[in-house]
Amino acid sequence: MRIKRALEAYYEKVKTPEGVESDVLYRIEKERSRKWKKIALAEFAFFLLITGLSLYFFLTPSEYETMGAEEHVKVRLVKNVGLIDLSEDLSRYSLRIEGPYGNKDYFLIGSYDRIEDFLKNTDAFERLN
Amino acid sequence: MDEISLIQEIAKGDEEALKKLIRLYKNRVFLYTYGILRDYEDSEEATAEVFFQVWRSAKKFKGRSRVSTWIFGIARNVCMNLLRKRKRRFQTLEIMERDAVYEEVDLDENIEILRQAIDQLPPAHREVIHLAFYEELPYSEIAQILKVPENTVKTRVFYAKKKLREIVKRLKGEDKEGS
Repeated sequence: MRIKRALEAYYEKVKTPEGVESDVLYRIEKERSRKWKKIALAEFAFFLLITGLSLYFFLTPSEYETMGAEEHVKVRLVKNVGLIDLSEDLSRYSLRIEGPYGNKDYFLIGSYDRIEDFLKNTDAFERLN
Repeated sequence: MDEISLIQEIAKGDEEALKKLIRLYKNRVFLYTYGILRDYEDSEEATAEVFFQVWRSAKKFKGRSRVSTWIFGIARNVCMNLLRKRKRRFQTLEIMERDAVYEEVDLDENIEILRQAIDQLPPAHREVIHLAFYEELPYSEIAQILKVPENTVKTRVFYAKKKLREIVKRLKGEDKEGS
């Protein structure tokens, strides 16, 4: 029992701090706000992912659309067109042109649907195949 | 409300229950951490951290031990982490324990000298003395807190008392020389 009394004497002058409770509550609040920040960050990351995927799948730049699905359609130039106008038209339809291969024959390269659309809307080319 | 119910309420997020528990254990936890850390501010920080950890891990409390044992266990981990962080060496007694010999140690000394001797004890000794004599916990509970076998606790208490006796002897010698 003497040791206990000595310990009591040892601790007698040690006053337990008053601020423990508020310190604990502050730590809890900090932890909560950290949690909310994490959730907000996760939501933001999710939003970015969804937006990125949407952009990738629904708003794919037209130049990527023909990747792996390019068609070659042989056409003949039947009317003189300005080079600048032609290149603007072709880029609007995401198409390229190769040629000439003699007799003013060219290949229109790109998505088949787009080539069709392009040919419907122009009288400068005549489809050969 | 008993202590286990308090922990259950804390696990549900009840801050009032936590405040009650803090009021119940604040002094005991603070003195225990002070006994190990021997620094007022460190002990204050450790005490707050202990109750914060109680808040965080209340859901994990299964009631296999007494609430006090669980809290002291948390307090001990917090103190160890603090000591590790501040690169202080916490004296382990494992090597000494191998050759432990049980013998009675007479500690029927003057309270003031004992108090001074306790002040000079290394943290590991003071910790076990605190739990065994101040908290008056049974060896089995101390063993749970320290996560060591019961026999190890007995050995630690033995060595702590032995060390205390050595310090008391030295202090008494100094007293005689002084007078």
